[in-house]
Amino acid sequence: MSTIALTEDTFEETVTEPGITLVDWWASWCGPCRMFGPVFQAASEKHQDITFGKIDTEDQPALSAAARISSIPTLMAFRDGILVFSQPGALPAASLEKLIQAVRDLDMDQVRAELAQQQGADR
Amino acid sequence: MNYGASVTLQAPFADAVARVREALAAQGFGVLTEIDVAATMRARLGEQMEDYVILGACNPPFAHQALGIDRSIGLLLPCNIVVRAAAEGTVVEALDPQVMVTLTGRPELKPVADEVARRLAAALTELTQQGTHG
Repeated sequence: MSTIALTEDTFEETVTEPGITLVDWWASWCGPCRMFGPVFQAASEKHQDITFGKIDTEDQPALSAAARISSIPTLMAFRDGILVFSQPGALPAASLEKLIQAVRDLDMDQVRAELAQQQGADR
Repeated sequence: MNYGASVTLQAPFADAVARVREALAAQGFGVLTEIDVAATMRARLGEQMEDYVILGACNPPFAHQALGIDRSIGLLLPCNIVVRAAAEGTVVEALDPQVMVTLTGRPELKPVADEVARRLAAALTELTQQGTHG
């Protein structure tokens, strides 16, 4: 699968789908974003079971503001609708591979249990 | 609003800071200030946080040009670069110089901002591509 451009209308339904979704927040003015683009694209071709979404922050300012994106590229990883990773900074290909593997290896029962505990503590 | 461009390095924090300084120097930026935010928070407030420094990078010819256009632009100088420890490696973030244009509303600053942006992008790109320096 290739990458897909996400918008305000498609973001939520895409990241809440079962499985893994990676989201690359980028802009054309940003040098590191232009460098990360092909790395992200190559990974999308390798990992057919993962959804690779891209959000042009210039085109989607409201969505970027809502997600509090301050520095780009920011990479987010969602698994089964839960945000499990969010960090700015273009990654080299080897690091992106490592990250994808780490997301695959997550024990989602444990993630959900920890999340429930955190939410309980917040109340 | 996003106002920074960033890369993630697979290097320990101290090595990353040294590499950032080298990459900036190669693009004509001297580092005038280095603020150890984590150490300051620890010393003054007893607060613990991840390794975090702010480097103040300056390219004198561009700073001179910008000051000639808007004498108050020093409020946005030098160009801040953040180096901080994160879950995956060390994150290096550079302020987008176009902030100088959007914040001041002075389009005459755009050529300076464009060139500074190009050089900062080159420095960040160089950082992720070099596997040779440590």
